Amino acid sequence: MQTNKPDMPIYLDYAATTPVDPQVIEVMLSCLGADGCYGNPASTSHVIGRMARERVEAARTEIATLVGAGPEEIVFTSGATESDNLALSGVLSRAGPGVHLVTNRIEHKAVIDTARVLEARGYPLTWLAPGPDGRISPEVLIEAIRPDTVLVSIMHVNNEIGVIQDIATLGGICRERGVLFHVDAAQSVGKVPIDLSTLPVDLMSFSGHKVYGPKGIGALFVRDAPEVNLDALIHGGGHERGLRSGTLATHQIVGMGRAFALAAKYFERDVIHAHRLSRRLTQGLKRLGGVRINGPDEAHRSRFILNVSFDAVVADSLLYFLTDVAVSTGSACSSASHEPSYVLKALGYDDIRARGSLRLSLGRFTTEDEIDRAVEHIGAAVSRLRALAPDELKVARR
Amino acid sequence: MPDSAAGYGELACDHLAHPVGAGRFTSDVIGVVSGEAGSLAGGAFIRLHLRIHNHRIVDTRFEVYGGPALIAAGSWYCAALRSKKASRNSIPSGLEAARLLGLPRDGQGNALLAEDAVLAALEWLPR
Repeated sequence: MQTNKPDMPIYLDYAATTPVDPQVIEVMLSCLGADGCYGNPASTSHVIGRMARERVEAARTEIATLVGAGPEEIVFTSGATESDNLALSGVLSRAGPGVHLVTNRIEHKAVIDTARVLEARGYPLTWLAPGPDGRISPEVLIEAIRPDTVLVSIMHVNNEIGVIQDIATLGGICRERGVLFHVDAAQSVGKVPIDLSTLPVDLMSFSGHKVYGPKGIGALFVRDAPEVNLDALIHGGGHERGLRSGTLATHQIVGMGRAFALAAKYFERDVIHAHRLSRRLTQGLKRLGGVRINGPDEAHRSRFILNVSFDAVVADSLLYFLTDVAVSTGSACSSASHEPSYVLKALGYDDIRARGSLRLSLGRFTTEDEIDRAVEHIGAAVSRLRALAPDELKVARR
Repeated sequence: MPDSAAGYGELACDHLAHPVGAGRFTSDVIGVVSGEAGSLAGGAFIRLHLRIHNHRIVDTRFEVYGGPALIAAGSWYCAALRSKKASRNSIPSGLEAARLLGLPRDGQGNALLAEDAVLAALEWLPR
């Protein structure tokens, strides 16, 4: 599929979001018109409502199938951010005041900010420090768990550096100690094998739009056995087993279901494709000189994400000149201070390396030609900026 | 080439597309004073080089490590200072530079940083 119009930039920001697969669009459209399943899925007293309900339940099964869960364990939400909020706040609220939460310094902001809010509400919080490659060691987790710990939240694949956490081992540690284990899988589902029938994971967050589905829809896996108890965040009708009230968005859910079914169908092809492209991109960028790969080695990294630093270059400037390539900086540059990425800082990288970082992320529709052209564009922009750089940075690069 | 859609004014975009005075003078050029401001660790550093002859700035160069606003400000000062009298009173302010360039609000501090580098260079001149 050609995702880009010829005059659009080369899209290498799949970790931010993915284009909706045409097959997903097709099934979504089938839900919207007067001849579609426009009924309220909760209105099962008539056939129009039941038609919608059937589509919702079919989608729930498609999602569950990809991750080895039961359909009854899938709760629809508005996205992975809401799923993370529901998991953390819901579990702690149910467990009672003052129970202990453990999470990771390089989580997505959806977990970090939620954890901070919970800490401010009186729940003690421990931050796990990753190693220099971004991985959480079993020893670090064991040391952090206390008698009053009720929940550990660790993401599967990091959205900035692509590090893959060993959730089987980390989850096993939690289970042995009777602690619930939540995993944000927004960046891993459809890219890394997930089998919840064997993984010791109690709660897992998913997003639709990271897997060629629509935005505004996600899900939380809530294990049935052993049963996980949590309080709802949104009340009003008792939908989704009472965990997430509100009329279900049939077209979004059906779209996410088809996207997950396609992810299952194309899994092997997508992963091989990403491996090949990632290697091509890495080799091309290394030829530019003064380029450092951030995060773990290939064996412990999702090949869909590549985080690189360019010596003597501030990534904000690089983005300005990279009008032909759509990428992100590794940093959350949302303020005037333009602070370097908290993820790279947590790994111990210095400010200059962190400020020079770009996140390039690949997807199903990325082509080898796009990779080659992107490397050319990046090389031209980097050269342009290095020509302006102070001599001491150029010397350091040599 | 990027345009004002990125939040920068037309003049800033011109300077970013065609920076004036990028680099530094070769060591055989005489009458050069230099000043710098900011820090590399802070992600914003600029060094201005002014070649002075008969109390006038006759040529300029700049080196920069920072965001687009700092690059634009450095280039703008390099262009604006040429043929100016080498005194503090004749130096346009950073705020004026930011206004003329059309820098976004969060980039205006970079123009002040460039002004600081110019003033630091002029400190080397006999009073």
